[in-house]
Amino acid sequence: MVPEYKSPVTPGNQGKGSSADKAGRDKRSTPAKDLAASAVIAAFAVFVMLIALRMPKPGTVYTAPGLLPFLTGLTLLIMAVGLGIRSIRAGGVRGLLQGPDKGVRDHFADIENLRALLLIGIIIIYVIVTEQITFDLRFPTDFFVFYFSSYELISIITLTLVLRIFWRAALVRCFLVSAFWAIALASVFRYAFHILLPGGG
Amino acid sequence: MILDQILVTLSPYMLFICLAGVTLGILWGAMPGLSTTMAMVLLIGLSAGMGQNVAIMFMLGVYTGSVFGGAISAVLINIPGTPDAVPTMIEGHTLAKKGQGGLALGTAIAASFLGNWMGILLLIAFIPVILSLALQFRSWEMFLLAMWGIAICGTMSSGELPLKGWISGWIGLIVAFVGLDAIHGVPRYTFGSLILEDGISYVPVLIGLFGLTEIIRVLPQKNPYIIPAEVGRVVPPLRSLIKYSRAAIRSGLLGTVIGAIPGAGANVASFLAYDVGKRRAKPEERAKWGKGSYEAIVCAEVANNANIGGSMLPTLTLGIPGNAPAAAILAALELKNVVVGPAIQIEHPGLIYFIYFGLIIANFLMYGMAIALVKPSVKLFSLPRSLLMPLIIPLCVIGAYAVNQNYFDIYVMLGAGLIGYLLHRFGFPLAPLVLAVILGPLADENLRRALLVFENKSIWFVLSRPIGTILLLVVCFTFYDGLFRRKKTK
Repeated sequence: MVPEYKSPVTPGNQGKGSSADKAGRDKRSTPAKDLAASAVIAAFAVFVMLIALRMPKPGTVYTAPGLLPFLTGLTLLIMAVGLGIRSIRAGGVRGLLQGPDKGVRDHFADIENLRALLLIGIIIIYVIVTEQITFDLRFPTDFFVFYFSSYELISIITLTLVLRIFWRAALVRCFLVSAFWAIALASVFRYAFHILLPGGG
Repeated sequence: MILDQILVTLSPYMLFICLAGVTLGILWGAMPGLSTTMAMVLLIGLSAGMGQNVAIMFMLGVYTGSVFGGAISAVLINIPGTPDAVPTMIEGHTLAKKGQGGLALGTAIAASFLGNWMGILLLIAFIPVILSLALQFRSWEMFLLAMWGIAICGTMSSGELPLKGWISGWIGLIVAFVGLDAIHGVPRYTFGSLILEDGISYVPVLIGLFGLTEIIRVLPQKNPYIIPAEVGRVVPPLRSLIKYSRAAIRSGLLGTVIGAIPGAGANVASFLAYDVGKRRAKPEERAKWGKGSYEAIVCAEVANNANIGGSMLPTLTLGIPGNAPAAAILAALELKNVVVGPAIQIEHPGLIYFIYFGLIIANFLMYGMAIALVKPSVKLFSLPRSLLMPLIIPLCVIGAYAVNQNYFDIYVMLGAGLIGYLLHRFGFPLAPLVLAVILGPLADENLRRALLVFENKSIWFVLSRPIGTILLLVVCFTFYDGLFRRKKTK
């Protein structure tokens, strides 16, 4: 008999209105996914333990820097094995043997997953470009020096793009919202709190 | 002397400064990804130009306001402003989706107000008792307390399968080990990278796991959830507050005592109160836990706000900060050449009373300002997710960068966000991971110190410490209960 298999409540999927409940597809925990996760976690735990064992021991074993990391790795391994056994009993092997390529195909067949990948790509590029392109323009007036840095420019471009794709408003509207928000945010942090911003300053 | 200090705190200028601090704190805490610690650390600079009393009032206002402010974004957009707002997020966001966001926030405000009062009153009335109890927590007890916090968080946030919560917590512990070890200075998991030797700050991890993960999760949905704009009733009925009074008193005591233990902090307090609250709740109320329980919000919010009063206790009397924001208060005081510690009453007579009354004033102002801000907050956060979520992206970047002014933290935030998304897809809760990143160094250092003390001693020596033994039993029970609860339920 296959044991009851329920998805844990996570901050993202609690409540009836969450998309996890509505969609109910691969966003729920399945035995096959748990089995795959337990294998990855077990490998990670072994890696953590091996590095902990290789750490220098300047004092006694009680103060060894690798002591708690090793114990943590060991207990993590035990937990991963426990999760693996539980998912095998729940039919995880059968699910996994259907082929990992099926899971990948299903993943890419879902438009929401593709949109998520697109968003992740945009955010990664945003972070990298903010680090790589840095400039700081100053416009002094009689009372005040107005700054416009690469951070605002890159944020405006990125936000306009993201809003256009996901909010689907007119390009001008997306641009105006992005420009207002990026400049307002940067101004509050720069002028009110005197906090340097990434990239420009 | 006491009357003089009361009059100083009640002067219009002091009230104005405190109100400014409270408002700034609430707004700061309400912004996803900007935490209490960050507010305190970054706003010390603003307080530097103020006089001693003015700076203290300002910082107390910011502290009180930002602790509550974390609940606003937690309830309305499922991104906690502060780690201790995670239980409030789990319960309050579900209620907000049902159109009860106003009442959920109103309950959180009333509970915060009550929690602050309890912390302050217990602080004033039982200083010697709480302090002597807190001082019983040595290395071994601190280690067990940290592990209990992580274990409970794992149990509470993972529903039917606590194993996944604990795995998440253990991954967080490993993240916390990265950097130079605190006792010998040996690099751990740095792989030769100098930047990793400083360790991984929990602030970008929190922002990534909750902020970025939520954006990546919600924004691509074709029909993302909406928060109803109708606020409805905000102030909870007195009857329901009376109904939850026992839970509030219990959580307040727990929050104050944990706040008084240096290093434990509001994160542990809110999760412990949340867990104990569930165990003590009536069956019909317990069934609502995790699905939108007002009693759960009361437990978590009372505990994390009572923690403020508690955390001030070791800060003022011993000079040991109860938690990171209290350390920022300590730094602000040092900027004014005020060295706190056992001699504070001799060197700065009346200062302790000034701080007590400052906390009381800040609490009243927080209540008024929070009630006033609920309706605009619900209106603001009921904007379509497809508009709101992209606007949080640059805020996440600034939040991760601001504390250390280090670009590496933005990459940590990005990595945490992607790992958080992956963990979410595989059904692992994220809260234990963040809590473990915060408590990991505390657990590590204290375990090794304790083992050094216990070296060549018998097991009876270890068990002869009553608090340690009770905590050990409680930790074992938490794991036992988590592992076998499902079987019992079946």
